[in-house]
Amino acid sequence: MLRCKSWFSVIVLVVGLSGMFVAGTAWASPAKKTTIHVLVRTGIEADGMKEAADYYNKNVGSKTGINVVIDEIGRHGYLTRVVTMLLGRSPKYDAAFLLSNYVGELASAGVIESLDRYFADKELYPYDKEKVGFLPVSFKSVNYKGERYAFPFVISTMFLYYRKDLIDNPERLSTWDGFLDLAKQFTKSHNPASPTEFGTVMQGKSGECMPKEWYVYFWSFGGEFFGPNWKPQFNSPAAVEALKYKVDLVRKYKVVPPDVDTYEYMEVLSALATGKVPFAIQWDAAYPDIQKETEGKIANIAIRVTPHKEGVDPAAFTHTWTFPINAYSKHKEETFRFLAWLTSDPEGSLWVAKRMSIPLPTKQVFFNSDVLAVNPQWEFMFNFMEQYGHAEVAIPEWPVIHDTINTFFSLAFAGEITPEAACELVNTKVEDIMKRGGYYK
Amino acid sequence: MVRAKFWENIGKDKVVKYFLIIPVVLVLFGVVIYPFAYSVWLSLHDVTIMNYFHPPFSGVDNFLRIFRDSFFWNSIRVTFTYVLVTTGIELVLGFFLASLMNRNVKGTNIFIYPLIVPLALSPIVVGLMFRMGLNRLYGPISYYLGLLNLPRDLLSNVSTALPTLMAIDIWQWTPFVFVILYAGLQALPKDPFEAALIDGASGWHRLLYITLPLLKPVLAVAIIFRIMDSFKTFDIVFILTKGGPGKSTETITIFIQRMANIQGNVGLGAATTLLVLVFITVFAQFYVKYLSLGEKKR
Amino acid sequence: MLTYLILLLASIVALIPIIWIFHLSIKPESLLYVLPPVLRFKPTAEHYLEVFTYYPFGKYILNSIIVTTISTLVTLAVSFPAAYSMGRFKTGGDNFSFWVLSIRMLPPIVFAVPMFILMQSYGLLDTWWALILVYLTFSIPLAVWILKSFIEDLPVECEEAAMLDGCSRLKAMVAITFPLVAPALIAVAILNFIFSWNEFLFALILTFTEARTVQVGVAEFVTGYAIIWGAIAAAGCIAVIPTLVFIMLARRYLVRGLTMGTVKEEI
Repeated sequence: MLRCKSWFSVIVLVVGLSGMFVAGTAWASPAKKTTIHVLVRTGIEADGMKEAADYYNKNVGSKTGINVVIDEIGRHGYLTRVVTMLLGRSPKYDAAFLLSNYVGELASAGVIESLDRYFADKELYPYDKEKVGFLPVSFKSVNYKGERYAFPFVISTMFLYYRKDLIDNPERLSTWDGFLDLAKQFTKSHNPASPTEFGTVMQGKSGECMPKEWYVYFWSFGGEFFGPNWKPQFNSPAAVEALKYKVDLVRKYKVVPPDVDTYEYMEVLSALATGKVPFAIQWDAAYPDIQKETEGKIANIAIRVTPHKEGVDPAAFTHTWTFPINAYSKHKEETFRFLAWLTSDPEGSLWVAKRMSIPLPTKQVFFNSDVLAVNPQWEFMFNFMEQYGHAEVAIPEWPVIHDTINTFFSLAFAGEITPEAACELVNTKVEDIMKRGGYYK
Repeated sequence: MVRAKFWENIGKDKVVKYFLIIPVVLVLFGVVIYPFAYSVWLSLHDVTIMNYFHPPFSGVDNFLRIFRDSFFWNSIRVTFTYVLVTTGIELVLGFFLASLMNRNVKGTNIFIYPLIVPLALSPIVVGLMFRMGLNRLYGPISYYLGLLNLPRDLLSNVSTALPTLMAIDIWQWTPFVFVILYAGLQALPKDPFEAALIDGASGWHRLLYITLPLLKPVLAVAIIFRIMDSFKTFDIVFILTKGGPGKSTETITIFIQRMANIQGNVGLGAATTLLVLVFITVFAQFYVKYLSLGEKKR
Repeated sequence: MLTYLILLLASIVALIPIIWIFHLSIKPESLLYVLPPVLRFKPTAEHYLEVFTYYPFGKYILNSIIVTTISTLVTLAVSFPAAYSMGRFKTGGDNFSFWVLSIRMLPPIVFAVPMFILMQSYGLLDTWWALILVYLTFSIPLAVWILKSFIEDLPVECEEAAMLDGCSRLKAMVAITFPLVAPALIAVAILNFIFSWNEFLFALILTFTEARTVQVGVAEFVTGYAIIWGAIAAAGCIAVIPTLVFIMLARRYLVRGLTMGTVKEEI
């Protein structure tokens, strides 16, 4: 009986001690932190986000109780993976870095969260909208049926990059005629004395980039995607002219390497950075890398507006990389708070811009003197976009239209159909798509 | 008593045999049936990303749209060309190399090792490296082709893109056919050949009427493996050309991917896959019947 | 002799790409894009270092090893009984056998999204099991087919002799048939290993960062900054080693198992 009693008391002691231990830790530890997961694409944005998240967790997260974890996945098939993840209604990632083209589609499917009510809440969004000053074109790109569905994060456009040492009168590059002349001048097959083998390069790879580059030509030849009542204008004279011009660069004048149809962002960057071409149209994001690569090797590369047809305005292509919030996320408010800090907080939003030269589309960032000191090209970029900015149409059907353009234009570049035929076919198909979408009552 | 146990066990066979296949059935059902059934459902609805969760029923509409899509037929043509040409050339080359090896010339045995190496590389590595090599501005393959006055931009020309992809496939998979056929040749009985030699049969005669018929089962294995796998080619084409230039290398898998992932029309993607599946099933039924007929004759 | 020369030539053609990749992986970064290609240089390990420092590549290797090994073992464990049943008793008849094989013929691409959703609902995303299960669906059909044919060619007397001595069917299957089928089992193991190790599509779709495999790791060097060709070459070389070793060592079994007893001799 004594033994029973002593065992009993040991058990009570152990249980009691454990209970006190548990209660003690629960009381002593700070309020549980919510962890949110954000998915980003490898590269400049991921590195910038990681640093921003680090800073946030140390300095701001302690007050808001939010811990941010950034995960990165590679460029190969990136958009497909993100779209699949959101459509799969997986709560694994609370937000994901996504191109604005897909926002309409995903909003329509109901897998990303409508943000208007969060923006209206002073507690969740305590920033002065006027002071922050989001570029209107960037908000337009995340707009679906009048509501905002994502945070614009990185705005991109395309510049015309050129080598200052080879091009002594860049003014000639302001028109497409001048562009062609100079390209011939710097192509060995036209001008054996040329220092470079080809005059320029382009992003010809079938997929995302090729149509987007064409839009620059299209708008600067005076074209518009849709006329009144959503009538597609892909067979307009401007469209045909723009496509013919671009196809001729490849097939008729051969001023670009014949394998441009395998080139995208990386290959064009490399061609410019190694000085293999005197000028090319390329995304703004390449600017810091090109400056770094060419320092001390060839004369610095300068930028200017993309060419335009005589009598037509130049066109600044704009598209926005955004952060939508997963509709199936379990921590929507916390995610919103973090993203609001990242994009609109006077301190937070400057973080990625200053550290990684990521152009956040707000006046607060673009006109900040510290930021401009590191990125002088942004003043030019902002004005360019404000004056001549064009964006793709933010309708859910856009990815299908984009693929249609890509399909038929690739055939034209491959020489299998004429540019005229390609434009006609695209127009017919797009009209069909719009009809199916119920745009024609 | 042991005898009785024997018959008792044989009797139990009736139950045991079903038990034995349960694990396989479970796994396959659990992992395959749902996606498969879901795909069938998808193919009967007008499913795009926009209305992903509440798509309207569309019946055979997707199938009709596919039939009327000239790009679908293009991808069928591309895939067929790819499969038939690569399998055909791999068989011929593999057989040629296997016969050479079979002559047992002194010192040639060691070549088996290097010849197997291409099989070890994964499509992603092969794809990325050839993409680099064929790049005109900095790729060595393109450079050397230029030195030899051969066309440099193999992946950018409609006439050379598909052949280039096929050449890469042949490079990688001929070793597979070679290894199998070599084993087959090595194991052939000597007698028919000796008899033929005595009868004065020519080399060609021996090849056509003795070697090949005896090799039939082994050839069948090689053929069915290669056809099944090359039909599914996706990664290499995606990395190197994404179906371009134009649509000259758009295989059926790339076409499906374009419908489902890029256009977001998952319904069309599913419908295409089902069509392809029906075709493969019909083809395979014929082929397997042919195989087992051959076997039964033995 | 001519035979020797032709085989030598064929071997060189077979080896050139892999030698080139290795050559790139030890070439200094500054010489990578230079044409004409520089052939003499001081080899560097910078790319291999980069592979392991840029990403946790060691983790990817571990993930690949685990996924490949487990899926191979489970395939064998599950397929052998089924193949035995189908080979000896014709369970399910031709239809079942054909259905099982036909699964391998399906192009995986269309199952990407449904498979994602399925794994999502099982809660297996970005885990080893997602990939293991998917790879099982491709290797089981093949394993069953190969093993079934092999077993069909084994005389029934083998087990019946043991059963006459009082063994149960199951015991006979394990003790007698299993060892006899060993070459085919090894062949299946090799094929499955190569397939799972080299698989890309599902590894890409079903994993993000935790269960990422070696192949996806190689593709991740296609970054937002640049395609890091040096690292890709190095990572490619690393990825090739296990498969290469495996194939070399077990070449004979591969052939024996595949040719399913139609070829009775050993090479």
